[in-house]
Amino acid sequence: MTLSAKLRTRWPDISVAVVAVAGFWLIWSQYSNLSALSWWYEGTVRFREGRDLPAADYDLTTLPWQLARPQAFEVNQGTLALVTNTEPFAYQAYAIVPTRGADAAYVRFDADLAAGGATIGMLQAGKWLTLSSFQKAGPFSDSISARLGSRGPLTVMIANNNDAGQSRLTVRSLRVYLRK
Amino acid sequence: MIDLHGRWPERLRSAGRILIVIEFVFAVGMIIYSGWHVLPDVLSGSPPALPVRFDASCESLQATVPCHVSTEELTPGRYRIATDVAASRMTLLLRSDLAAAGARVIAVRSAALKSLRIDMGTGDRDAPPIATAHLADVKVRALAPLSDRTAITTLSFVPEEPLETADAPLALDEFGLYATPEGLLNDARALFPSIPAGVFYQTLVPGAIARLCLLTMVGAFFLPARLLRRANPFLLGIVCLSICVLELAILFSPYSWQDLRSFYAGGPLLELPGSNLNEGLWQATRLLQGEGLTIVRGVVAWERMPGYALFCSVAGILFGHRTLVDFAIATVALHVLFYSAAVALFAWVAGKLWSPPVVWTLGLLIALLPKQLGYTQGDSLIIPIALLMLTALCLRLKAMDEHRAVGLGLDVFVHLTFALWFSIRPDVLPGWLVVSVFLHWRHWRRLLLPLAMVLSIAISWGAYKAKYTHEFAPTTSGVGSSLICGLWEVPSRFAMPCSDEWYSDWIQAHTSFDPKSQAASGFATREAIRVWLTYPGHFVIMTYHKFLRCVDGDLWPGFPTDLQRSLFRVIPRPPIVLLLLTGLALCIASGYHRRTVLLLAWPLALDAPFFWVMFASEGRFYGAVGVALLVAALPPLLERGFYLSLAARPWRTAGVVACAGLFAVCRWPLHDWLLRNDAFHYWSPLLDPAHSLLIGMK
Repeated sequence: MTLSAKLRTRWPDISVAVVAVAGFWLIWSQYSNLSALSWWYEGTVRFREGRDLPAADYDLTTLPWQLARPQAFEVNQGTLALVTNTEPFAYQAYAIVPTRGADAAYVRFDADLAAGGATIGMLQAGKWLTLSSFQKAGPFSDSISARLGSRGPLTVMIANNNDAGQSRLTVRSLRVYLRK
Repeated sequence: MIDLHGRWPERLRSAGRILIVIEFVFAVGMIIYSGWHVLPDVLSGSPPALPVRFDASCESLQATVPCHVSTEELTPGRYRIATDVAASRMTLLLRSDLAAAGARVIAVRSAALKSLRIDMGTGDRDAPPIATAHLADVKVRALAPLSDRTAITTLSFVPEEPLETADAPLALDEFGLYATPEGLLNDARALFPSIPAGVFYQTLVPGAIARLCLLTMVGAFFLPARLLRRANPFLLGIVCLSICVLELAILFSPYSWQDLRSFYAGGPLLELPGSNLNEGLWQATRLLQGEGLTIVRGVVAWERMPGYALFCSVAGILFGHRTLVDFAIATVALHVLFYSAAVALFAWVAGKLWSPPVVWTLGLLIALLPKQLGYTQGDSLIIPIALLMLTALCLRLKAMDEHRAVGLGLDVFVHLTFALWFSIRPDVLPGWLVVSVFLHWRHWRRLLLPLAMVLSIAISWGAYKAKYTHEFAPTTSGVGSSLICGLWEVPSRFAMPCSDEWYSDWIQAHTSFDPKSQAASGFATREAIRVWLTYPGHFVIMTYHKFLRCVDGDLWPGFPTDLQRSLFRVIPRPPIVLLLLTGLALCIASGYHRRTVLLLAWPLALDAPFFWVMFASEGRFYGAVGVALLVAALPPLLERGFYLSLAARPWRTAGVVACAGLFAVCRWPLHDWLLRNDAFHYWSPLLDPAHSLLIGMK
């Protein structure tokens, strides 16, 4: 008897095994997905409430900032001063950091908007994971969080958000937390 | 080298089957649990509120206009409170001591407002409030904590930012006082409690349940057949019940939109009696109050049959009818029970025709069909009624297949299911006639059964209405208006509207008839037929357009949730319908259970075409067609014999498949070509358009 003939004879056994394993995988994947999501939401709530915060993995001074095309950019004494270029929604400054196997990332920031508008957010593999935009002059604080979908590096982005042109802001603190 | 001898394959198979049984039980358990868990959200909409009493007053935006407040109880302690004019403030003077009542939280929602301020005062109008809460988003339920509870005697609601016009009346679609915030913004659940209820029930649970359903459909083919045959009716009934409840919780979520009670209190029950979603409820209320099957004093339903109002009455008797909101919830609850019972009964009877896994798959797919069970109108019942009709036909087919004499009781059951449909909508009549002749052409005396049922329903309803309308209309008087509305459901240059008001004005402009009369309907019918004859091209395009929409998915009407969308995202509706239709055609062409297929699929040929010429209303009336297609076409596709039959007739099979392929590819290009072809569309070879009272061009 050839192998294919033997397989044909054993087809019922094989199909039972395939269905059983596929079913187990499906149930496990559903559970695992919901469980991971629940864990992330729980972390987000804690993070927003400022409960049980560990030391930040990065802050303004330790983030490896790279510049796109801002008119002015300066990190001095723990604050970041930025004057954007005139492109309404252009990327201005970003920092690419390794995720080190983390499943979720959280960013908490305090900023002062002098003019225009700005967006602070996170990207992975070139796609926005989450962002926070503000266009009202004055102090602005927010906490944003995202599940990390792949093992690629994380980009923390500051972008212009002013369709009239240039914006000016000072970021007083920006902390990045990575959670496994 | 794989050793395919020895005992391990048997052991593997046994272990695999045991695992599949465990997975099946787990999946079914999760489906049932998810439905039962959200049942309180569907029935009540919130945890029990505190029985705090109050008097409500308001201040009009214009000082000279008097302002009044109306209060509708949603559940004990939870209310919809609204002013009758635009108001700058609504004040509740509390008659209960908040501290004694244990109140700690105010829950409030207003669909027309973005933000709201609550001033908590001592009753002294000149004194400033002792506490103020600013709620930034009250489109969904928002909470405000009560601080100094002993001193608070008034709650004033001040709109801060309206969503729509500022001169609309001020309405709190939901107001209640609670001892704890638990269960108000998120449901209290043991599984994954951190995930917000909105995303959990709108997206995650339906997606997971859809996958578990798929798992059970595949797994059913590996379960012990005897066990599944016994379990099918009970399990499918319970699973269907859970799915129905889950869908209601998704569509009417108290956490991300509004619960069912709030929906009715702030929507359909505010409309004039006689609108789509409140007519049955008003009729039933008045019937139980001994004021007859009327909508308001002296007015009967001219465009509907009486069955749905009677159904609502039964719901009210069974589940309570203290308020109209309670009545609506009782009716929705009976919809769900009726649907689930119909699925269970169908599963029991279908087990006599098809194998248990086929019945499980079919029953589960019927349970998963898009539904409109949350809407209190007759169309919500058509799927379960059609299912009962198909159940009866399955029983009769079984008897015919076994060449047994068909008992009178069985035929009575068959025709009672048709009669049930007729008591709600008359579109069953042509199909009922054809099916009756098909079933009884050898024993024609049995035709007296449907005849007696039709006459008893039609004459009694006609005679009852005649007391009020002074004319005898045995069914409905809405055929004419429906035919006219049907004319304009396809893109064209004809600039005619379709609304009850327009129809009423149009009838009164051209006749002396009451627009709700049979005479007006007859006049409108003649004018609609005149349009068909005047513009035969438009008639062809209209029927073809609606036929295409029907087979492209409108035949499964209702409100899809992510339970269905997660499937339709993978395989859109048109290919599924085309596959099933091709299966039907193949059965007929190859002679595989031809009689069964033809009998079960009769609504496709004898009910759906009605709505290609009449008002189709986005497919709202197609419920029976979709379920009949599923019941007739799916079982053969899951049977080995079907494919053997196709293999035995390769030319016929190839011909049907080729035609189906051609139709699939050419149907919309042909439609678009017809639609663009004005010479054909507006061709008027028979009658002069100037004589039509309906034609107007853009």
